[in-house]
Amino acid sequence: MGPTLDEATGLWRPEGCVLDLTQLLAVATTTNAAHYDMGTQLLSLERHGVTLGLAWRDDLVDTPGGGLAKGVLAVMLDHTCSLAAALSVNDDTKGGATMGLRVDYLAPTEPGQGIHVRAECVHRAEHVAFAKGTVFHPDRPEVLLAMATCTVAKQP
Amino acid sequence: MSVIDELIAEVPYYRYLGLRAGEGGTVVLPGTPRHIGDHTRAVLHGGVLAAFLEAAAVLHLRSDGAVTATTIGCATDFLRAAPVADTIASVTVVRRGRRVAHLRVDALQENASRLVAVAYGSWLVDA
Repeated sequence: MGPTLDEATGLWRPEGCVLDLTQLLAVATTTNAAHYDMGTQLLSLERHGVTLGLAWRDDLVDTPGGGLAKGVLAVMLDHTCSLAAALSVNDDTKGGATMGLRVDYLAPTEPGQGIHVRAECVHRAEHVAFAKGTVFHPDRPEVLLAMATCTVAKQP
Repeated sequence: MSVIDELIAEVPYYRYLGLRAGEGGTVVLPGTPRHIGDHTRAVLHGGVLAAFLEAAAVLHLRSDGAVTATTIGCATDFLRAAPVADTIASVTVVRRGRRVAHLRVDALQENASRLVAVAYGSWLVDA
């Protein structure tokens, strides 16, 4: 049957996903103060993953004349991995908190360019979900800028 | 103005976070509502803490004479939920080689009595 369009949010609901997408969209972009402030966007959903976007902002750079800061990538990866775990757990009553985040910075981000961040939950154990995430520029998805592994504590 | 405050002033993202120099070479992340990551419990965003600890490591290396300090990789463990309060980053240099430095950064709250997160990473340094 494949994905179905969720009228309220305009998002494609992955097959099997039973989450309240209005609530998920809010958590991803508005009720999270740090992401509301940065202007984080929710781009697409998968059954066990999610892609977020962040447009270019010249106040979020960490080197003069550089691209988006490494810290910004970490903030985005933490959030994306946590949302991927929520999608994978597939239960509105069970949120999760990130317990650990490891980020490797493969290449510098380009000035003037936004980023896309995709995360996928690769394994769910009884108490912990394991996710991995990648960062790339929208027009060059094959060039990885950063990658992360993240552990998310599952709410009992 | 301390060296760390001067370095913070040069970096837009560090100003965005509101970083400032603390006592004894530490760096402080102000506890503002803008850094909240979970509206149901007013706690700081884990990613913002990770970004803060990475920034503190870079500031430590640069205030110690490195012209550039580029983060290779950094792993942060979130030990407990961090309420919206000033957080202090305290940096320990584990090893400073010719090209690569290995650092550990502790995130502390409540007058440095409560450890909320620990980061460990490596930085490419250009002296």
